[in-house]
Amino acid sequence: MLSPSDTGLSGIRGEGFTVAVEAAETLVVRMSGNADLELLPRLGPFLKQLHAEASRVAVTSVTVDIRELYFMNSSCLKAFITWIVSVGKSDTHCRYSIHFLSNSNLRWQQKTLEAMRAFAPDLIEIENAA
Amino acid sequence: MPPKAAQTSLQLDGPPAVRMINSARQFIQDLCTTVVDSATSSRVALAAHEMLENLAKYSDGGPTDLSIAVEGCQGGSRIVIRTSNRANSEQRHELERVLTEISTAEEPMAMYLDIIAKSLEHSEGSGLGLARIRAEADMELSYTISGDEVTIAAATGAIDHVESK
Repeated sequence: MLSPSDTGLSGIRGEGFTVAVEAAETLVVRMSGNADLELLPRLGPFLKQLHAEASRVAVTSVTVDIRELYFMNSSCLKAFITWIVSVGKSDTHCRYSIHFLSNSNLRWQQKTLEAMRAFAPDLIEIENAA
Repeated sequence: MPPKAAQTSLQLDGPPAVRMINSARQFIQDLCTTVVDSATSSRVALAAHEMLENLAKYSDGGPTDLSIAVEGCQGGSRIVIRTSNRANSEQRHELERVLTEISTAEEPMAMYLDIIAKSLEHSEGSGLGLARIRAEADMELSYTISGDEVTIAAATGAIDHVESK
């Protein structure tokens, strides 16, 4: 069981968005608000650090909860895909699955998540958990 | 009888502030839900957000404009979003290249995934937002250039039911 202090990750908080990290049996990243140009400069470094920490503590899965993420722009989508591709290219012992919790009431999520999954279909699971 | 055409627009003295874009998207989505279904509203909102961000990133100074209109078309009515801004020569050429690639693609989703893959190798300016409008929002893109002013249009196909309100 992970505790938050096992990871060196801290979340991101800004006007209009929050990225929170929890640690339990797996790493959980909860995003809320809008992933837009304001979040972008911080999102890339956060995802890099997330990958480094997830690899270091050897989690088997990272959950990304976007049920309260009202929108994600294409630049943040690109940051996510950069992360996903880096996970896919990692050595086997550093690789983990990525489990998205989505909200079917936020209609943009379905096609955007499908686009993400196209880059690592073996690693990504999408669950409608609204 | 086809529904009455309607239009609303947002005119700014310069590029939109980033913080305004989320509010504008939400307003546009809420406005659209009064005349079309929620799936169509969501598509239009996505396109509006990406187009507004492009105005914020790529305008070369001067006023910018976004309009949303319900227009008659073959098969009924459609929603058209237009943005206008000044762009320099390099930006205009890049826009023409990107929009030609997007609008001539036989399979929008395959084109989109290809553009995403190419964008991973560059830090900026990939056409990703426009490709997303085509593939995820399923909207047709077109453009006109008049001098240094660029107008981009994103249009839904004919919508089954547009309410006249």
